[in-house]
Amino acid sequence: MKIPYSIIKNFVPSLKYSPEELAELISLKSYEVNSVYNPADGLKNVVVGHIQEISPHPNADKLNIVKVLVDNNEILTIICGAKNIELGQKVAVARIGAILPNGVNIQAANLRGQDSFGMICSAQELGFDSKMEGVLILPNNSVVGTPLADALGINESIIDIDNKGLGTRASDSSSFYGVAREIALITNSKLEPLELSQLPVNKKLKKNIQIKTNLCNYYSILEVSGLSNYKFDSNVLSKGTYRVDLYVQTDVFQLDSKIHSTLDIIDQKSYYPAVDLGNYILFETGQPLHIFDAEKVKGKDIIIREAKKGEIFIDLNGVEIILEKGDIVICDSENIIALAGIIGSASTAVGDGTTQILVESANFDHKRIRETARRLKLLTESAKRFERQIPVELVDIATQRLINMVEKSGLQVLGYVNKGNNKSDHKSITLDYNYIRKYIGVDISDRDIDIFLKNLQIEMYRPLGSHKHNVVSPYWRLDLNTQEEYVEEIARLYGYDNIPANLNINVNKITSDLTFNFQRKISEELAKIGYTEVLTYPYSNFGVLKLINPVDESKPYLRQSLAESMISVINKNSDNFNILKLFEVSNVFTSEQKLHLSLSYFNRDQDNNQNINQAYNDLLKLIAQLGFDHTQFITEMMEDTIILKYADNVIGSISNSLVIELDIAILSSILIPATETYTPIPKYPSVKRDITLTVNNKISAKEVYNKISGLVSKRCQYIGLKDRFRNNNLINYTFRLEFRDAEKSLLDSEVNTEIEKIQKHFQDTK
Amino acid sequence: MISIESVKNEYKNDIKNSLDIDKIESKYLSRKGYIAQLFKSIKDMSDDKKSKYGQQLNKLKEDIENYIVKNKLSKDIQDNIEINPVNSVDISNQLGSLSPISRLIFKIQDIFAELGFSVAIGPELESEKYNFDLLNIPDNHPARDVWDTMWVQSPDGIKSLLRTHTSPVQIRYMENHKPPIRIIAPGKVYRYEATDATHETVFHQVEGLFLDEQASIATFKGVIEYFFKELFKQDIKIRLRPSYFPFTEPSFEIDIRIDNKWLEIAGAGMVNRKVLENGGIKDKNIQGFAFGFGVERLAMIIYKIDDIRLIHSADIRFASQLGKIKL
Repeated sequence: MKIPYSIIKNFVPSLKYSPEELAELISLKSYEVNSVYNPADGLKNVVVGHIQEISPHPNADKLNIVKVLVDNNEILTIICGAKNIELGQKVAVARIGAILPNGVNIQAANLRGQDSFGMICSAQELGFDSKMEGVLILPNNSVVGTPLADALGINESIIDIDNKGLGTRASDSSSFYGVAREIALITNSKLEPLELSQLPVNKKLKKNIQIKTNLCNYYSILEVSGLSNYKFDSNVLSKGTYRVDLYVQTDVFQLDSKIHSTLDIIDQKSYYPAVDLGNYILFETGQPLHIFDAEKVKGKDIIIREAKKGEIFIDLNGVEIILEKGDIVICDSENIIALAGIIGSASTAVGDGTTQILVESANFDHKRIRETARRLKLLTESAKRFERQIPVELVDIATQRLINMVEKSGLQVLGYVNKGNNKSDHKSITLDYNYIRKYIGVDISDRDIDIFLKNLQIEMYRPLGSHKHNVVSPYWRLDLNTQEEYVEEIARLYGYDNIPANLNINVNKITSDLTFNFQRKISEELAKIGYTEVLTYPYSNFGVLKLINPVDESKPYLRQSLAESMISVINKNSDNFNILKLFEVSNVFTSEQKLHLSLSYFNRDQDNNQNINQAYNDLLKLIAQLGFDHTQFITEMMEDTIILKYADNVIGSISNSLVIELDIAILSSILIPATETYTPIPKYPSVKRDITLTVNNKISAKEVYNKISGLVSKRCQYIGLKDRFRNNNLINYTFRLEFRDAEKSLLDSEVNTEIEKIQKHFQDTK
Repeated sequence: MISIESVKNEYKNDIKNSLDIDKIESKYLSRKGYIAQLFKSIKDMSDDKKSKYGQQLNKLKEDIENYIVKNKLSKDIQDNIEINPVNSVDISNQLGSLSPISRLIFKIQDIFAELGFSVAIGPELESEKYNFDLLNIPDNHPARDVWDTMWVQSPDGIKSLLRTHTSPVQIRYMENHKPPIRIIAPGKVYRYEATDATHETVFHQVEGLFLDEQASIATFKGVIEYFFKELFKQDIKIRLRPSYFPFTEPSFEIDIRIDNKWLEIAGAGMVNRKVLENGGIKDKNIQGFAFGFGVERLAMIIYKIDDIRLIHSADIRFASQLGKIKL
């Protein structure tokens, strides 16, 4: 919601704050502010110029040399290629030094041998959303030398309030007057009343309003005449348009120019003056009005009812809308003439030649409007306000405001008729001041709370000697229904900055989620031993759970495994790194959600087997490091994949010999602590022997190791490879073996027997 | 006395018990193994028996050999840690690193732990009920516009969603725990939106919930001020501004003062009574606050990351940089 600063000043004349200060204050006390800006900032050094002379460029057919008066006695020579320039026109001239909204920096230039000192601008070049061809032609009464922003009436600060997400407070913050009232409240200033005229209750309009649904509680119609033949150039602009482009004929029904410049400045598109007036009142009061061409509304009846399924309605943009049962519609004696609170019909829309209008002001059920508008994706300014609930009291206020402005424009009110209940139901609630103090955490006095409530125009009744009060909110505050909602009012007026920070809290026992803690430990340990954590997207081209609205159409599923992502991370990064040690912890989704860890070791100089061994090694070390029994891990071949088990539970797998993936939620729940009891220190010494075995060099150390371990007795407690030496097609492995008996000192002969057994075996097989 | 039958049974048993593959090899296929022993007895048999016996025995031997070959690879992987003490594992000198997100979440956990906050987690795959309804965001409410939701369909047609915020954990925790409650809930959240330098479809939030009989706006200010001062290791200024969230009343935006500018950093508020009731807390003496902030946004400020998309880029040149950064 954009609000010009001057409008605020009109309603709160004593305001002492600059636009920026005011915006800051609003954001601290009331609502979020998106920005404060002045459209003129983008139009510096652009002024009104008067074309004095046009002569053809000697060296270019399509260019002219134009002399433009830009000040009392300053004439600029500008080379211009526009076709629509004529002698005597008022135009927008960007002087040297201007930086246009499209980024063009205006400098002195030489075009085919002729000097040029500025630019005559088109609407687009000035940042206006315009389809108009050629340069922007300004009204003849524009004053030469005036900055363009002033000439257009758009040199002023705008405060843009964010009310997208607001709840019921939205209706209160979606109008100039509502915001002005809020500003008066937070600055302790006087608020000027809206200028209203009496409802013409004695000029009875001959229309028969029939409300046939309880989704409309109040409906009124005002008839106005005196508009005359008026033409609108629809070939021109959309949003952000400036009125000067629009009106072909402006001599008949003149709106206050302030109304148009205000609509311009808040980026509201202009149409016919009657429609613009209705829009202006919507922004000013927060109450949407709908304007019908009176002569196009058939018969005496105005019927408000719920639509039947399949009824058809053509909206004023010419779009055919198929209605659902329950959509609220307005009908004349023959047709549906509006989709209530959302959009009018093409058949009754104001157009060229409209002289008499019917102005609808009414209140509709916000939930139903919301459903309809959202289903049809028709979030018009009107629908946006209705869907957030508007107090019914605004219906008459908007009509009275319109009459006031119509009278000033020389139009006549012909008649008026209304039906229904124009008072909203505000229940009284009980406020306990002690509860409010406890909630805020500050000892605000009864008197201060009383003052805040009074400033909010809240009616109060307090039984003598009680801390409890009965309160009723003013009609414009539909959001004050609970004590906590009053807490907010009192706290913000007291000032959030004035509430002291209080860290006087009890000691509390911590019982954090075990899986999360395990995830943290694993991640930290992996980082310590050189692994880098990666985060990858959860989307996949296959899976079980499918996204109804995927962000990437080629990956509409939620991934079931992390391996696929990990492999692509390795492929993506392997050019930059010789060694990659990576892990990811993330949820994956089968029919349910599972927390997985993926782990990969990639060394381009090693084969897959060595790499995966390394990763597996690290995993086991990690588990041991965390104090758990790593020997419970085993791997098994199952069909084509290697599965990983811990204590007989399947907890993961190894993919493509590259990625180990396991379910760490399950793992953390079955981990067995490592034994923490001591094994007695051996009483008897060990005997160490080195043994060198010569084998065919195709035989790996591992195979030799396996063989040795199968041959020796339990007394052999350690076998380690000490050396290897290759000799043509043979290889010598030297292993160190360590023997020990828990019960006695080993005899040399006993060890010799074991060693001989090994030597014999390898001699036999050589 | 062993027979083909008894050896076969024992072998089956050993497989079932996942006996070490090397032990199986030596037990059955070594020179003194069962198979060799069974072959020895063949010479005392009559010729017709011999051929049948031989076939059966060869079949068993083949089975065992196949099993061993098939399982060798997995065994190799498994053995490395135990058998290779001489060729010790090469731990590269290169430091590993946590993602900036994990790093920050763990840091946040530690700071809140000083104030007695536990960590709770909740599912990313959520229902509309927990993500919206119980948080006082009814269907069709304009507030739902703020959260662009990614909807999920399971094969049996059940529609669910990826949580759009960590706030559902509030309800889930209240349902299972009695006040006093003091938790943070870190985790991934999802939004259906176009990505750019500051917007992602997957990002992380940390939710906070504090309920007891005393927790007030003043307590909230105390807690959140403490947190940001600890996180930034400086006397950082914070301020609250009025805001609107359906699940809190009153609601605040939290700004922190960094480089002489106010930065919006988190949303918060006193937990709405309706939400407390939806979580099963009916006692009117219980009150408190909730808050939530985006971890990526904080990370971007702290680590000076200029594009949120780097976080999920899995570019190791980015990911490995933060190894030496300490908060």
